[in-house]
Formats: sequence, C-alpha cells, structure tokens
Amino acid sequence: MDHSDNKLKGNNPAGSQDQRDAQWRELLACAEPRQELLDSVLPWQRVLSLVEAAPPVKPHWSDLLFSRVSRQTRFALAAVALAVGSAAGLAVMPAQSDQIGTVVLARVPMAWEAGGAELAEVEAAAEASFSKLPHSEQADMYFLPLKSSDGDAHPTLAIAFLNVDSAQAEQVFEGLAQRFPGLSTGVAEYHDIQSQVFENRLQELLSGLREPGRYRGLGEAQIRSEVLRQLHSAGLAPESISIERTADGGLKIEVSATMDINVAGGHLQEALGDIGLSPELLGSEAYEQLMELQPAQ
Amino acid sequence: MDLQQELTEQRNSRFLALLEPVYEDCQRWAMHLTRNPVEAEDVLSEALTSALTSLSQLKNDGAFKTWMFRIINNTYRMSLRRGKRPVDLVDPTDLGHVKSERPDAYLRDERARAVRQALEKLAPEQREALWLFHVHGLSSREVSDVLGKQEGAVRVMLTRARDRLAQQLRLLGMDSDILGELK
Repeated sequence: MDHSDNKLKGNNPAGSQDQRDAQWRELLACAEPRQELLDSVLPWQRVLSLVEAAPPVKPHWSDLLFSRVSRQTRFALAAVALAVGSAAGLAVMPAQSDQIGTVVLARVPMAWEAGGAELAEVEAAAEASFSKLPHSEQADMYFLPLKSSDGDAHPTLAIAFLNVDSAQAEQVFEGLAQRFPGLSTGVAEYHDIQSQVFENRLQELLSGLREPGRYRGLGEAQIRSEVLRQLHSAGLAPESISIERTADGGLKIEVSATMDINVAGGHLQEALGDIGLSPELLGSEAYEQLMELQPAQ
Repeated sequence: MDLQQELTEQRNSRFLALLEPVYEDCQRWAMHLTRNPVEAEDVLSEALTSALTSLSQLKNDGAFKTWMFRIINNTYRMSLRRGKRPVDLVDPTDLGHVKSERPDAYLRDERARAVRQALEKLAPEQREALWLFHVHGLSSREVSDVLGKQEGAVRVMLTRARDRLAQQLRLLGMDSDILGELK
C-alpha cells in the first residue's frame, strides 16, 4: 500500500509512517458505527437472495459458439513427428495446419429477423448442405443471427465452421447465397479461425522433446513417460504416441494430440484469442464488429 | 442445464466468491456514505445488483474491492441526484461504539464523540478520502479510482483533511499529546 502521501503534511513527525498510519486508523475507527448496526445493513443471507434473483446472464454470441466448441468437439488435432539423434540430425515434420475454421459474415435484409421464417429456412438449408460434405466427426457448423449495436444497420448472419476446410465452408455459403439472394445484401466476408495458441503449444512441446540428450539410455516406457510429461506441460492431451528406433540409431516419435479450450466466465477475450479471433488475425475492424454484435433474440 | 443458466450460475459463484471477503468493508463504506442503515441498505442492494450484472467488465479480480467501492459511491451519488437527501448529522448514541463497562470507557466514548463531531466539519469528499485511505487501507491511487478524482488531487485532499481534522479536534479539546503523535 502506498501511504507515502502522509509526507505531504510537511510536519516533522515522531515515530514511523506505519505507526502514524495505525494511529490515524485507530482515531478514525473509533467513530465507526456499532458492529450490530453494521451487521443489520443487508445481512449476507439477503445478499444471497438478491444474487439468486438477479437478472440472468445474456449470453454473448461467442458464448454460444464456445459452449458448443467445448462440449461437442475436441478443438484441434495435430500430428507431429520428430526424429531424434539420427545421422541427419533433428528432423521435424510440420504439424497440421493451424487453420481450424472459417467464419462467414453476411449482411441480410432488415426484414430477416432471428427466429423468423427466412433465417429458419436458410439455417435448414445450411444444415442440409453441411451434412452432405465429407468432413471429420469433429467438424461443426454454428449458425449465428446477429444484430448490430447500431439499430439502423442491417443484421448480420455469421456462420462459423469449425474443423472444416475453408474451401468447404465457402462451398456451403456460396450454395446458400445462390439459393437465397438476401444473403447477397452485402459482400460476404470470410475470416479464418486460426489457433496461434495451439501452434505455440506445439512449439513448446517440440522444444521440450528436442532437448539434446534427453532420451539417452532410456527404454521405450521411459521415453513414453517423458513424452507424456511434455505433452501435459504444453497443455495438450495425447491421442496417440508412437516410438520407433530407426536403422541409423535415431529415434522417431510420432504424437497426435488435442487441445481442449474451456471458456470460463469473464475471460471471453482470452478465449477468443485462443481460437484466433484476435484483432491481429481478423483485423481490428472485423474484430470490433464481432465484439459489438449481440445475439439476436 | 441450458447455457444461460450455466453462465448465470458461473457469474453468481464468481461474484459471491469475490464479494464475501470484502462484504463487511462494503457495508462499512455504504454506512459511512449514507450514515443511515436504511439508506445504506438501499444503496448497497442497488450497487450489488449493478455490480453483478456488469461483472464481465471486471478484468482484474484483484481490484474487486476498489471496483465495488466505486460502484457503491456512484450509486450513492445517483441516489442523491434522484432527490434523496443526505442525513444531516450522525447520532452518536446510534453510531458509536458499544459502551463498555471498562474504567476507561468514558474517555473512549468522549474521544469517539469528538472525532465524529470533528469529521462533520470536513467536506464530504475529504471525509471519504480519509476513510478509504486510513480505515479501509486503500492506496491514494485506489482512493482516486473510487472517488473519480486525480491521484494528485486525492493526495492534496488527504493532507488538508488531516490538517483540518486535527485542528477541529484541538478546538474540541482533544488531548494535544494524541494529536501530536499524529503529525
């Protein structure tokens, strides 16, 4: 605590600053109300009732997105293989692309309301089109009718595709735009969702695994244990680990890992950053636009 | 459980966990501002609801107490603007310490009475700054956050408040030895 401002008094005080602070505190505290009077001011039990009765949280559109992400999908899957100690030195095969999804933003006519017939029809068509695409079990699509904080602006439809190739996302949306001209009210914007954090964690994992001499004299079980430890410390969950000794005396380790993203209340922006929805990746304008949009009711 | 319910429960749990350790301080602060338990309860209820519904704006949990104090202060100011009049004078018998049976109780009660009377001579903001700084242990920066003032202005306010309080206490005949220690 910075209580240095007492020095502004310009007096020549006897005793330490702490002593004088304590004396002021004691002097002022003697004028405090009686404890039982204080206790009678909104007792804790009534605070609990007040909190219970408070208006519920209105989820931000991204809460809807993240809740779906954390419940239904393991967010990203990457395979990394490295050869340790071979004659050629360290060889690291690149991880899978960290592009993990696409968000399409499209202006829609003013008359298209959330829950209305037009958007319901578009959503049904989008679901049908998406289900016909070849994609992994982790693929997901989320349909987000959004309204602008500016009441005069056109509402926006955001469709988030996760763990889907960007070309497939474009294919779905272009098919919809041909069928529903209202989706061409403005120029649709495509934004990649990238996971820098995921890439960073892979780099962290690699630097841990590649430390010289780490595996010297270790048996396979010990190496596996070491890899697991490195995965854990990088925040990754193992899917599979394969360890192979190469003909030239090297070691080849292949790892598939996932990263779960959990969004705790109050940490929305960090979570957005975790999946790449950051001003740097989206551009500040698009990012602000996304943050200002609210779920249409 | 649907998402809205889950998020609401998360918010409520976080809020209560942050509030409980500082709740008594919040009661004190509301009481200090209003000097009336009924008014304090009104202000505190409104401030708590306001804080709860805007909890997502609190980025640093470590600053919760200062944030909460600021909301209580703003709620009190708004209640004044809505026409609620501040209570004019503290009733010493209501607001003072519980009278003790110890031999020095009389002197301590007299001292408390003198301090309360002297505090009444201070401008409300000087009183609030002194209270936040010395009783609640906030730094001058935190006091400036709560009161919506520049930190430099708070430092000056504190200096003047202490000088004025000491002067008033002398006029009320408080033992000069005690005041001397405070300088």
